[in-house]
Amino acid sequence: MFRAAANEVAIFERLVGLETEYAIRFRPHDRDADSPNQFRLFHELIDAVKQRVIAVKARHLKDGVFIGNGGAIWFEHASISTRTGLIEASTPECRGPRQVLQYQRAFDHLLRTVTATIDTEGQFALIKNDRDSLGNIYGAQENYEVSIGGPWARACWRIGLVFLWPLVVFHWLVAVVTLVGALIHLIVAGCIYICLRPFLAKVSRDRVFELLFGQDIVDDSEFGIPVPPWLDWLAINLERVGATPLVAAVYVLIRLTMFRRVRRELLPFLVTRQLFAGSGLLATEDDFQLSDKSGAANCVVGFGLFANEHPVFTFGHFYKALSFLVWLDWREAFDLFGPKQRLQIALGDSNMSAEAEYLRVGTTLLVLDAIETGYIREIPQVSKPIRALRATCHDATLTDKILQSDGRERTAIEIQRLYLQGCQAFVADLTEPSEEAIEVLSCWEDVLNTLEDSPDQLFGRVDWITKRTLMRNAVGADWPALKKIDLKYHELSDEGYYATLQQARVDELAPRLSDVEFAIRNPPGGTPAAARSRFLREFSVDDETVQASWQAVWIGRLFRRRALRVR
Amino acid sequence: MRIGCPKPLVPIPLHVTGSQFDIQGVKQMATANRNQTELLDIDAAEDASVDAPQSLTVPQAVQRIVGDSKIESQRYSEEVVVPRGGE
Repeated sequence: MFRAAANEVAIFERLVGLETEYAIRFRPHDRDADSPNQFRLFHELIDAVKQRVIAVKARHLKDGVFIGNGGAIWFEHASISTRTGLIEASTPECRGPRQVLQYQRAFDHLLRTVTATIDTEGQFALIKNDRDSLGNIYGAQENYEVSIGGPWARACWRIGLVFLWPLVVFHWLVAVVTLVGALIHLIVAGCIYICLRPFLAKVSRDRVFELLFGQDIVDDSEFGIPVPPWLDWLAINLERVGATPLVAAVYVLIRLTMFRRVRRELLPFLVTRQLFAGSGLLATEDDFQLSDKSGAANCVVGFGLFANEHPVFTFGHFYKALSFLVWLDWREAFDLFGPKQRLQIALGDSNMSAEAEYLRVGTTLLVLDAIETGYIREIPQVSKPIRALRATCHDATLTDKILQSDGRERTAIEIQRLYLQGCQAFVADLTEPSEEAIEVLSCWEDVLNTLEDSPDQLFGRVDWITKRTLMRNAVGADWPALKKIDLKYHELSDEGYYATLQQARVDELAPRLSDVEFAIRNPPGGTPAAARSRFLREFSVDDETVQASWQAVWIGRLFRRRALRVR
Repeated sequence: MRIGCPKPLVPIPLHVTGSQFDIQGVKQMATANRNQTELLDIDAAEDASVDAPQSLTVPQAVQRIVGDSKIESQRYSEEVVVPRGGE
């Protein structure tokens, strides 16, 4: 069996980045006052960010900005018509877990400090978790640069991409029809309203206006758009219908060609990674789960909510690049032919503990390196991965057995140890093992040992254990109080519960404030983010003349716009 | 690599003005600026690097959290609602 010479391997060299969605929490000072539009809060936040760091408009379909360290802050729309959604931060492209941790904490710190300074006639804070109080799912995604596969897989992927184009064009046509339909609606609705207006009383007028143009227009919101919820729903679903043939074809192509070996070898690791990377969830009063997200996973490969799926691996970015982003930059489609692509893991939780976040990324990077060099090849597969994922998520005793393809049953800790041993062998064979790899291995082994012997000692280091301990200490607390612990643990403010614990220094791996401040302003060296950051510093004047994307920094207006490539 | 650029699109440093600008030159200049910025940022960060001293013990922190969790807890949950899941 092929195994690369470990001394030729560059460990932790692949690009890696995190995307983290934050729920918006707002409490008006005046209890009877309405909360402001969430999109408005996003704009207030961006204005405050611009007071601290360089920020330029993102050249993307989403509203967002790229900042001086090469990362970005976005508004992830939940609904266009009501302007509700989430704040999302994307770290710059990094190399190695320490760097990822430093930049993720830089975004957490930046968002925490700017939300505290915004004057919005209320308390504005972000929640770094994965489920709201109603159980809606959002949260963290991890991106790893990974080789597509061998020569045959690469060739098949590229040929398949070429044959996708008729479906791409069909999707574009449906999108154009949807857009034209929305414009016709606006014209017709305007005519109807003008004709009816003289015959309607004020109250009825507002109702008709809202039905035709949406609540924002009635409220005279400066961030509103004239789209009523029913038209929003219709457009989204029409667009989905138009995209279905393309999505189905991309799905089949990915299943057959993309990251096949890596996905297969990585899956048992990801199923059990929640042991130390889960952030904990109180689903009902007597149902405490290890992970926010694992219990909701319903497929291994998916596109992330296209058909209400919650996948382990998500490939929505391939579909988006072909469908939409190619209109903004032709390189988005061209880059899909490259030998390395972005493997996106949608399963991970947003961690408050720095050690959990460090281990989540560090162990995954190490396992990916070991898989690609052939050191991890023979780990038995989990027979029913989604069932195993959910079972592990519900097993706080850590004793349940998972059936594997070799016919043996192992606990989640035992499966993790198989990977640990593979990675230990891999690092031991390196001529010059990186200090960081040794640190990850040591930390990983220690956490697994402690989970087996005395898990409660991981208070402050593993989020679900910390959260569970807090709840156990809340003697006599009712459901709302326990749920508040579950949610407020993740609040990015001085009053957030993890922040309170940090005042007692429970998390020794948390980066120093000086490192975090440095990472807010400076990019990770030797990455596309470094080039992006350089161009932003050099040219950023205003949103009209400079924009940025993950591929390039764009300078100039309209047809005179030039792209300075960063990758 | 050179990129044609009829006239400066944005105020750019003297050495890159003119009918064309040299990307390599821009990169070098930008690197110099970045290094300078880094130095400035390091200075700023040094000022901020005095991490706050440990102000609570673990039992005190837990006690504070448990106490706070019982205050307006229902209202807090209602405030953490995302109208529809993202992802």
